Amino acid sequence: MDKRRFKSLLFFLMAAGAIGTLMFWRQSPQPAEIKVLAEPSPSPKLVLNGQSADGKITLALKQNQGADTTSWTLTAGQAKEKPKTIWQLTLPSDITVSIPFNAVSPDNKYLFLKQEGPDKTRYLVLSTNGTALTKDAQTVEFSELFETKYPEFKITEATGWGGINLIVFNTDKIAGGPGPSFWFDLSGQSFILLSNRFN
Amino acid sequence: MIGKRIGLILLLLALALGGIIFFKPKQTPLDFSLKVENGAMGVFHGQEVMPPAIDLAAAEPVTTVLGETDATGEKHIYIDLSTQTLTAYQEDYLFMTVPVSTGKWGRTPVGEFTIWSKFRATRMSGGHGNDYYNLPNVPYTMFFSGPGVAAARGFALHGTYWHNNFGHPMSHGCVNMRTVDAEKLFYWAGINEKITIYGQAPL
Repeated sequence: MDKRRFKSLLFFLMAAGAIGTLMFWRQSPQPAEIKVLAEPSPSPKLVLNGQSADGKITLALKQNQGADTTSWTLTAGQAKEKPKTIWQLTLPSDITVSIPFNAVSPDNKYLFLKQEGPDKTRYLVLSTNGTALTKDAQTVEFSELFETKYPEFKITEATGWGGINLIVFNTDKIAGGPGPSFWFDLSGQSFILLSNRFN
Repeated sequence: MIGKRIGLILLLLALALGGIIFFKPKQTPLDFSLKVENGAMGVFHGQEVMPPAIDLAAAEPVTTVLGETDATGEKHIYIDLSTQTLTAYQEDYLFMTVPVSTGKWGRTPVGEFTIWSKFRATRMSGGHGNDYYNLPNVPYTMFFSGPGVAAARGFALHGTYWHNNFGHPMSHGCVNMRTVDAEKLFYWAGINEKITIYGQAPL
């Protein structure tokens, strides 16, 4: 008799436990992927994260894909601060934006982004707090400035910052073969031809 | 006969002088000690640089994640000059792999070394003319030495606040690391930790 009662009690406890677990699980926050995937997402998708060399500034690049265009949003944040949107741009869908590894200047005041299209790569410089870089523009795009001044070279890659205001980039000769490295001096928006190549 | 001897002596002197100039420490602290100089300006490639302030009271090991502290066995740091990468292992456990900047204006030595001293910050200076640098508060400095590389030559792994071009040679012989990576390595690696530097830096 006692054994049967014990079995019934055990069965009751297991059933109660199972129901309780199910109810608890249903009330817990659920992964939202299925719901989000089922609907067109109104929020941008995180594409890339970046970080300054001292770890104090974190960057997040998000994209919102449209039919023919993509909207890009960059946020920057410091420890214990809410990230702030510092740049937004809508571009044709065949152009992508990325955060290079060495994007942030050594003093954490500036950063550059890489913008790759089917026929051209551009580099945009902006301030990490979102303020305008010049009187007329929030950003400075230096690849076109460079092509105007040095039509015999094309930029192959901007690798990082050689100093506080100096972006290092390598070039190829238009005629073929590797070209020299340059610094783009952000403070004077000028180019400095280097004797060493920064491979 | 005397002329030949004098010539030989002059030749040896010239070779010795050349050797000293070629192999002199490329990025040397004024002395090997802890130096915190908050507010002092630095110079790198003709530009003034404001070093980050160092707060020794706040200095403590960075938080480790589960697993990192469980690893046991010998620690070893590898630096591949050809890929400009630093990799740190404890036995088979990979602790970190990060891009670094090794010698461009001075050669980074290759071989087997050990860390002989560590400082939360120190001052480094050297170079001449456009190449002159004088940098206070160089963070998380780990000096290394080994066969053929005396401690007095001042080679080190350290954090870097004057450039951000990692993955490409940018130093006067030391191993420049992102400060965030140098901090992590500084609190992981102890005195006598082994370092192997190999490969050839991109020209």
